[in-house]
Amino acid sequence: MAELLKIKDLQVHFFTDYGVVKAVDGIDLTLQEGEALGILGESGCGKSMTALAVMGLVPFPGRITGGEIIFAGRDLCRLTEKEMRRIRGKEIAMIFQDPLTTLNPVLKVGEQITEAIRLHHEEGDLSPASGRRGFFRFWEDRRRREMAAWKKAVEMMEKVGIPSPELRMEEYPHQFSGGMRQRAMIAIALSCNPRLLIADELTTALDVTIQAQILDLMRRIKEDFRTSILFISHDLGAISELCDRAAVMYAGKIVETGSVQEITGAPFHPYTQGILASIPRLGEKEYRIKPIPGNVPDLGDLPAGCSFFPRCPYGQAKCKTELPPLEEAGEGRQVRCFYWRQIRAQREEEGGIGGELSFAGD
Amino acid sequence: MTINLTQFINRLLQTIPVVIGVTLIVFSLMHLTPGDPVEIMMGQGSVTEGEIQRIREELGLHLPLPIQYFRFVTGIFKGDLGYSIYYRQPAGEVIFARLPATFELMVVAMIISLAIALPLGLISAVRQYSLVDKIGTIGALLGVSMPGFWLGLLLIMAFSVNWIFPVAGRIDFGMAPQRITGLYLLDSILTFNWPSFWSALRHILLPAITLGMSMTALTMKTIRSSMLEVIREDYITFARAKGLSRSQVVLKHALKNALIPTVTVITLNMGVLLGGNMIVETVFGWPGLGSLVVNAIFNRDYPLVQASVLIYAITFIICNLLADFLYTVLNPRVKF
Ligand SMILES: Nc1ncnc2c1ncn2[C@@H]1O[C@H](COP(=O)(O)OP(=O)(O)OP(=O)(O)O)[C@@H](O)[C@H]1O
Ligand code: SF4
Ligand SMILES: [Mg+2]
Repeated sequence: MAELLKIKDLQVHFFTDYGVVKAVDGIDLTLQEGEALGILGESGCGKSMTALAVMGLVPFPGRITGGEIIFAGRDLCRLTEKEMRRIRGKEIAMIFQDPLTTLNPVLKVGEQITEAIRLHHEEGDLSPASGRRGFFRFWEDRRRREMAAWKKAVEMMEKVGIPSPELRMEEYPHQFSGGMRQRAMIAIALSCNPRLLIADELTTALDVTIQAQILDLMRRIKEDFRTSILFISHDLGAISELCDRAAVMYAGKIVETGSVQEITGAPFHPYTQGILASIPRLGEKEYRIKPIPGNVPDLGDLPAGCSFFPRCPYGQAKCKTELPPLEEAGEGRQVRCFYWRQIRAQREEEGGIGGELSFAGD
Repeated sequence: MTINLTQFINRLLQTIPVVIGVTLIVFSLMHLTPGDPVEIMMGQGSVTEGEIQRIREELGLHLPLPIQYFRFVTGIFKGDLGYSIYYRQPAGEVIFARLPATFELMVVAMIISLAIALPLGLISAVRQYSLVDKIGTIGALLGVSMPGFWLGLLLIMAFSVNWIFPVAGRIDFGMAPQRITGLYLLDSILTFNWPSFWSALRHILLPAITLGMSMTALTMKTIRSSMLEVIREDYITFARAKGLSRSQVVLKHALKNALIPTVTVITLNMGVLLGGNMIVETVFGWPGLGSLVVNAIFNRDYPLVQASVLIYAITFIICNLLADFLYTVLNPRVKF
């Protein structure tokens, strides 16, 4: 498998009146062709900004201040806006959490799909040039293009499971149900066969049954279209259903990466363990939900050492002053913690997750 | 957009109490103020008591107030807006003769104001805190707080070089184009009468700018704030994520949404324009409805004031209806 996306030490900073907010603070990620990578993390840890950085759409007053985003061999940070526009939508597509606010309320759904298609398909593949010359040629070509885009849009809507697509093309987003809107948005994103699909909190706003359907659809997309997926969520369940690998983010940094099995089955980083402990398990007699105490630190005023230190049950003096590096912890596995070896050893002794953990470091 | 006919008629019926209220208020106000219209009309000393009495009776001014009011209202439904004491003509005729002048002034004021406000509001939203934005904000503040007559006087002082911008009237003497619509600019275009067009244009520019100013500021502020709101929406980011350029997104995706509140504000404020137009027309000697009303008030021409205020009120109500209507047309989420 070839590397499709490689993010190296990405920094996204917001320059606000109250100082610099380090929304993304040195992220490293790799995504293989055809792979689905989940990004897990609490609200505000910088997941969306990482995604928007890849799209080149970080909102003002934010800016990419460092790092590289290598996509299919090219550093996206160095591209001009014009070059970037050719990548957006065509090579990398992005879908958002709330389909109601993501579709334009005053434009017909059909228009919103065909717009993307007309934009990115070369004139040739939408419509063979008409034989006629002269005055009518322009209008005729235009009409052909429009009709071809329309057909393609209907086809896309069918593929994502929207019933009677011809009729629904003429409707406005508010006439769609939540799940159908989500599908329409996915149809738009897929309409130009992107190589990478970024989904930001795709399933968060949906109820459980629709969520399952959409995840199912995403899995089909991954298999049928061979699209690589960057799946952002704070729902570990959704990630483990769809993704091959997962990266856990905390306060603008990656703290742990690994296969989904490793992350859910044997997490090394105290934060990942905390997330797992805070998820209720089916079949367990009593729910022992233990939310991680404390809050995400203020990204405008991060502590000097490990940013998880204030909430970490294993924290030592060293963690307070020194930043732990992202260490290799096995094949395709990385952890950002000074004491992950000790933590792993202790876990193996006690067996499994959920046991009371204490760590005698000092 | 679906317009439900029953609801539309309902909405029309809702305006009836408003119209009645307006007639009642106009009527009472005029009759509560001191001063006898017939005496003013006749001038001092030249007429006898008996003659005055006769005229009062002719105009029905001797009748009890409720009956006068009743006659006023029933007259309206018969298309009779009363009889102007001062002009000695049916009030309706006097008013409709003046209406094109006012209409023309308002349309030009509107065009000028939109031509300034739309691009400026748009740019200041898209480039928030830029120089354009700052100048626009200050300009809007000035525009809103500057009284119309004052701006009018300033403009007269600054530009009243008579051969460019004349300070009074609609057109140079004897230049009026052949009457088709009563709108000089339009008529002179329709008859290819360019000297008349130029003359009419020179006359209308200063009053139209003055009249449009308050509206410009308001429109600009509305478009800026609704635009600022809209460009933060997810669908704007999504449209950009499709690969559309910034200007395509602004002009197609954002503007269409931002125009919804803006159009409402503009239509509702045509009523404000109508009010400001009394002052502007007086300052610039514009022979329209506004100056007519002001004069009618000074002359205590009761029937004429009543009739014109009624026309004002109806225009206002139509503007409101139009605002509702346009809102539904522009916004697919609501039905009438
Ligand atoms: N306009 C802004 N000005 C200043 N800081 C901002 C701005 N937008 C975002 N941030 C900062 O960026 C951080 C990361 O935001 P981001 O949207 O990426 O979080 P997220 O992980 O996607 O969270 P969520 O799960 O809520 O979507 C936020 O915590 C916030 O501090
Ligand atoms: S480095 Fe220290 S504070 Fe940070 S997660 Fe590891 S043990 Fe906890
Ligand atoms: Mg987010």
